[in-house]
Amino acid sequence: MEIFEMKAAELALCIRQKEISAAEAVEAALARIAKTNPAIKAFLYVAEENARKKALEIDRKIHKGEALGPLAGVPVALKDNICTKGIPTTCASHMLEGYVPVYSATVCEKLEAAGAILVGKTNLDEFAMGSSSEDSYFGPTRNPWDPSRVAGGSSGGSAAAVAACQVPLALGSDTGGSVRLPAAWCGIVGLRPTYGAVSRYGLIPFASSLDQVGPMGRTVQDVALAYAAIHGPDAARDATSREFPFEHRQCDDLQGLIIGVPREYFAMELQSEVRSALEEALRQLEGLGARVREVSLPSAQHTLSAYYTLSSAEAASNLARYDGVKYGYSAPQQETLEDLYVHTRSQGFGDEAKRRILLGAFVLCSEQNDAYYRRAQGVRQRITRELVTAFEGCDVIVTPTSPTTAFPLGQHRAAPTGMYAADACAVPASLAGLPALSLPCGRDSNGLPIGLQLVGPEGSEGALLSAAGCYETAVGGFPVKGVGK
Amino acid sequence: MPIDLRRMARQAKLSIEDDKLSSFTDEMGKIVKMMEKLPSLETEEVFSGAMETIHLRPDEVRPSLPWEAFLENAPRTEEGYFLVPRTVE
Repeated sequence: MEIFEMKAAELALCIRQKEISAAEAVEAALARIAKTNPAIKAFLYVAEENARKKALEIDRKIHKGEALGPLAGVPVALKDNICTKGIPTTCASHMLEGYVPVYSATVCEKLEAAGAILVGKTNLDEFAMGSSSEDSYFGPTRNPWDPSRVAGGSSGGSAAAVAACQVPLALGSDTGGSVRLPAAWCGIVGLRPTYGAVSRYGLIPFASSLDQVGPMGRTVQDVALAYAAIHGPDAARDATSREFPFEHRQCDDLQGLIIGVPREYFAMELQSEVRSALEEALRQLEGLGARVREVSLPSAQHTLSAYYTLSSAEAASNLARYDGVKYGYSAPQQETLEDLYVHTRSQGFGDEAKRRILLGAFVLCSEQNDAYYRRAQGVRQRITRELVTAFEGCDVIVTPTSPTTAFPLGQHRAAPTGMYAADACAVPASLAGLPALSLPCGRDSNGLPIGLQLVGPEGSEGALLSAAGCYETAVGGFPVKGVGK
Repeated sequence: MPIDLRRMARQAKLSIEDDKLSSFTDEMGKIVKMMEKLPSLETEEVFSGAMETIHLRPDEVRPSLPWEAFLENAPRTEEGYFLVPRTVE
């Protein structure tokens, strides 16, 4: 097996046992990225110097017999909306082209403390607004399973980097499905944590009441390792940070697990192969001892509308900071402050970011507030109550991660709102602040991956990962598709 | 509810090119149509917000980054200040 094909857990073990050096692991990742990135554009920036320097530090520690973190020597990638001190962070936007943060996000610091080595920053939809990773100022990310298709978004770069074996682990961010959807479409595992479980300090915000950083990997164990490293309270720097104990146990069966299946999700329009794959997965879960029962989420039909109302409102507020004064793009030779603001923002943002800002401005107008914003908040409260009620009768809720598999590049460019429906299964967990995990459960007739979503009560990441790991073992692991192998 | 795109753009400090105005209006119209189906609040429903998840830290002075760090990414500076077009005549 090549080093670049190794999972994070086995790579960390081999490095710890001195079978492979951290330098070798990093060189393998860098070579893999150089070979495969032109075809898929997962990475926007490769931090070669940083990665080699950190690898030497790890190897010195190993040589001296010093204590090592659980991810020592493992190459990782971060979505390019996560601040990394001294390393460019662009949010895939012209607005932040050339921006170099003067501090690192908490998740970046925690991965480094665990010994992981940052090799680069990955592509995304601009400011995390999108479901395909086509809306990047620097060009789209392509799906390693079929480069004529999208990788999903907005964390498409991170998903593609893992799926193409460029790195074994990556972090993305999930607002309305942006970790889970690309994980599903790239055939890997992606976790959206409970809101507050992972610090948002240093995550450039899109919608602050919805954003969460989440890990992506090729196996459940790898995602569990990454989550263990990044979760935890950070109250001094993130006022929404909360503490949730985490314990991941591997289990041999699912005896006693009750799975809730929302009737509304199986009544919606699903690609036929997605429906079949989910039904087969549910049979397999029952075969492992789980019991399946129907639950109901009556407000599910309104969650997409509520999500776009609320997230756009928050985006309009969060993106108001980009004014050409303190950082980022600044329109040259402006006579007035008003002109500086307007021209900077008009030239700096792409069309999707502008659409979201305008929508947010619209819903926040005083005369629209009751019409849209407050009603959306009402739906948010209802879906949260419905999910909490559902969990009184089940341990985990299973749905498709997305109604379809990855669509061809360019399919929705003429009418971008056509792709919003891809998030339909993902947004309820986001609105309710609950953890949700996507894992592969099959492929369609074109060989494209299909994702299964597990949603749990808050703080149930350990239980979700345990159930997912049991399923993963039962199906013999998840297939890996590199690029140009 | 029709969208006055130019008014929204003024509020958001954006300008939309004339050749994109129509497509922007169409796309936003589709989303607003989706939003119009949001159910009304029941009389007993009160949106209280998420204040219970906000934890304020003690009001203590702590070290921060040196002020020079905040100027590192600034497009234009002068003598330690962010430089902007004249605002006062």
